[in-house]
Amino acid sequence: MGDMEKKYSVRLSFEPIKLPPIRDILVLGRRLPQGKQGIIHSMEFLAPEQFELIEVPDDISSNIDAVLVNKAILKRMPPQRILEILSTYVFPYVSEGEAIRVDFTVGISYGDIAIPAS
Amino acid sequence: MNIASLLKKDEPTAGPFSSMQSLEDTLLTSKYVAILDGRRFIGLITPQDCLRHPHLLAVDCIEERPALSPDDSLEHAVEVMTSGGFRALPVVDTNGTYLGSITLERLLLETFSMFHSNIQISIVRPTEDYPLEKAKADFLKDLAHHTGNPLQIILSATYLLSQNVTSQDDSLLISAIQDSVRVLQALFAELCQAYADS
Repeated sequence: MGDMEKKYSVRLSFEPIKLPPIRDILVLGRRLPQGKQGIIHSMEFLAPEQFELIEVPDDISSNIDAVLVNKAILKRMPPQRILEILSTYVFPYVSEGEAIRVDFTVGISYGDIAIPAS
Repeated sequence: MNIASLLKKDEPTAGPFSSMQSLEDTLLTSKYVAILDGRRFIGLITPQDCLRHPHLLAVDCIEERPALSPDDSLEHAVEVMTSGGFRALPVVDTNGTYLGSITLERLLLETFSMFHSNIQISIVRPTEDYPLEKAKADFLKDLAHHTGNPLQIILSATYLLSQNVTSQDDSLLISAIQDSVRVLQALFAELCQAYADS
C-alpha cells in the first residue's frame, strides 16, 4: 500500500451565482437546521434591509416556521395576503426540514382610471 | 423561603450566535444555558429546547417562557414549572433585570434537603435582662420560621402529587391537606403579627 502511487481524479465545472441566493421569498420549515434568526442575520449581511421575516402561525401551517419576503413585494401586497397565497399553493408541499425558494412576481393593474380633462 | 437564595452566581452563559454543538456538553451537565447578548438577557436553552427546536444557532433554539420574581416562593416556582412543562426558568427583578435562573432539579433538591435539616427551637428562661414578653416573641418567631419550611414542603409535595392524581377521592384528600396547611400558615402569621403588635 505504501509503495503505491497516489493519483487524484478531479472533475470540475463553474458558473457565476447571484447573491443573495433568493430574490423573492424563502419558506423556512419548522425543523430546518438553519433557524429563522440565523437565516435573517445571514441575509442582512448579504442584502441589508432587503428582506423581512414574517412568522407563520400554527393555525396557518404546522410545518412552516417563517417566510423571508423581499420588502419590494411587501410594498405591493400585505403580508397576510402573501401568507394566504403561500398557504394554498406552497406550504402543503414543504417538509419541516426544508427551505424552499419561491419566485413570486406581483403585478398591479388598474382599469377605468378617469383622468379629469384640464 | 423564596427562590432568591437559590440563584447561582456562576451559571453557564453563551452568546446568541453560539453554535448548539459548542453548548452540548454544558447542557448535559448544567441542564440549561443562559443566552446573553452582552449583558442583555435573551433567553434560556435547556436540552428539551434542543429537541423541540433542532437548529444550529443558540438564538434559534430559545423557547419563550415566563420569568419568576426573586420573591416568589418555592411552591409558586414549582407550580409555574410543572404547569408549563419547563425544566428551568429565568428570574428577573421588578425592573426586568436578569438575576439568574433556577432549575426544577435545584428546587427539588432544596425541598428534599429541607426534610433532613435539623430544627432547633430554643426555650430560654426569662431573666431581668431578657423579659418574659421578649422571650415569648422570640419563641413565636422561631416557631413560625421553623414551621414555615415544613409547611411549604407539604404544599409543594402535594402540588406535585396532585399533577398525577386520577381519582377524585385522592384529589379531594390532597385539597384537604393543602387547605389545612394554608389555615396553619395563616394562623402562625396571625399569631406572630399579634405578638409583634402587642
